Amino acid sequence: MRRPCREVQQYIASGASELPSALHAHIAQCAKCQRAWRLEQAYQQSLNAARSEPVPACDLPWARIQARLAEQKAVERAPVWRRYAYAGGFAVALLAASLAWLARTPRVDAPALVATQPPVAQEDLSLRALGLPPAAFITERPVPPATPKQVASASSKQRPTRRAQTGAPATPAQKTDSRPDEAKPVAQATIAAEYRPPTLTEPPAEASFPTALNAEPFTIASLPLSQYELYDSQQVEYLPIRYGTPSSDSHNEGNQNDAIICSF
Amino acid sequence: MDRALAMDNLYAGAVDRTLTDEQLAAKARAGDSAAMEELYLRYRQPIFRLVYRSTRNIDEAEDIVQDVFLKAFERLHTFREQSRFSTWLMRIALNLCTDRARMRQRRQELLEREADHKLAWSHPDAPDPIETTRQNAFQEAFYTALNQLPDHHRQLIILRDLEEMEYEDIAQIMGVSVGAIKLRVMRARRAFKTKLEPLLRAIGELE
Repeated sequence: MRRPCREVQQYIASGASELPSALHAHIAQCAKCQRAWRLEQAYQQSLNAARSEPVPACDLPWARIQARLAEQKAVERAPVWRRYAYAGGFAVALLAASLAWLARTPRVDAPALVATQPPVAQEDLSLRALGLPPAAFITERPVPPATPKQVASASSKQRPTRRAQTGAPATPAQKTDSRPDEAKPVAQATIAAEYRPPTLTEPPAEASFPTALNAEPFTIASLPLSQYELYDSQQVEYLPIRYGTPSSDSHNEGNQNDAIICSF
Repeated sequence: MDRALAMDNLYAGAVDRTLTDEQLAAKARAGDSAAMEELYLRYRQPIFRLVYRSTRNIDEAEDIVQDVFLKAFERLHTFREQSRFSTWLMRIALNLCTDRARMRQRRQELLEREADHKLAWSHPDAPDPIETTRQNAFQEAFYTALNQLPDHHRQLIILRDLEEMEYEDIAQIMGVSVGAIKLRVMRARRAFKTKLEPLLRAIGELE
């Protein structure tokens, strides 16, 4: 591109409405520049015509915008409100269903709870139900003669339930294992007092059960004894504890999985 | 129309008019309806003019203006004051114009100039009816060529040549550098002239 042509292009790009006289002479000779310059002039003319066209005033009142904004806000609020309503309704329905289920279902969870606990804990529950001092009742269950090693380990184990109920201070042997020689006689005496050989057939000492004999059939761990068969109504009551579900084979009275949790 | 403007001007006294756009935007963001109204009254006509240049239909332009302000007030929290409120608003307007143009293109509808408006917009003191007709022919050619352009070129022609905005402002609206805008405007003009040339030849304005 020659230099005058480049100058004409620069003038056109800058939007100039007039060209210098030197470039006019060039345009008269150069057909390309002449065409470009005429097109630019026509463009400017049409642009001026378009600019001169009056734009009407906007007739949109603020009230219309305000109303639409209010509509939008109302639409935006509704889902949030509905969401809370749905959540609240669901919570109420869940609560009602839970209450209905609790009111309808028989309390069968107590035996299961008892069955999972050790015999000592079961006995404690029953004693608490009677309102008797727990120290007066000691479960009789077969315990093999303790070896010195077992005595030592038994004395070192903590038995918080019994200790808490009796309120007796811990023996020196229970407090520490650092002096096993001193702890042994005390531990043996404790074990001997607590674990006697089973005497299921011997009559209970009435003096130690002043209220139990006069009591009506009571509830042990929320299970009425009257539901269950009494093998010896005068002396011994057996409360079968059932393991497993009702559909399982082991859920039968007299099964070897049954356990005696209380005897008088 | 005059009544609506008069009512708007009457109610617009609830907010301090000396506040800047950004201060008003901050108030409007907090839910101040008077600040929103003041912003609307400040920019209703400039936005309408910009939109009208693109659509050339009053009803459609008003619809777009309404959408522009609704969208702007709805998304005021996204206005970070890195640019001016006016350029932010114009950016929304151009985006909505582009959306409308695409919809229009899909429907294959041709916008026709309303005859009554054409009469109303002509200068009452036009010296020569022949000159007026010539001017109208130029306008028709101009807008016909403009509508044939792609969106990005058309927006630049409107902003730079019709609205005579500064390159810096256009750069803010478009979110690019000033140099890039200058280059794009040059390309847009070249494309526009390519479209305009046969139309001017058809009406005898170009040999």
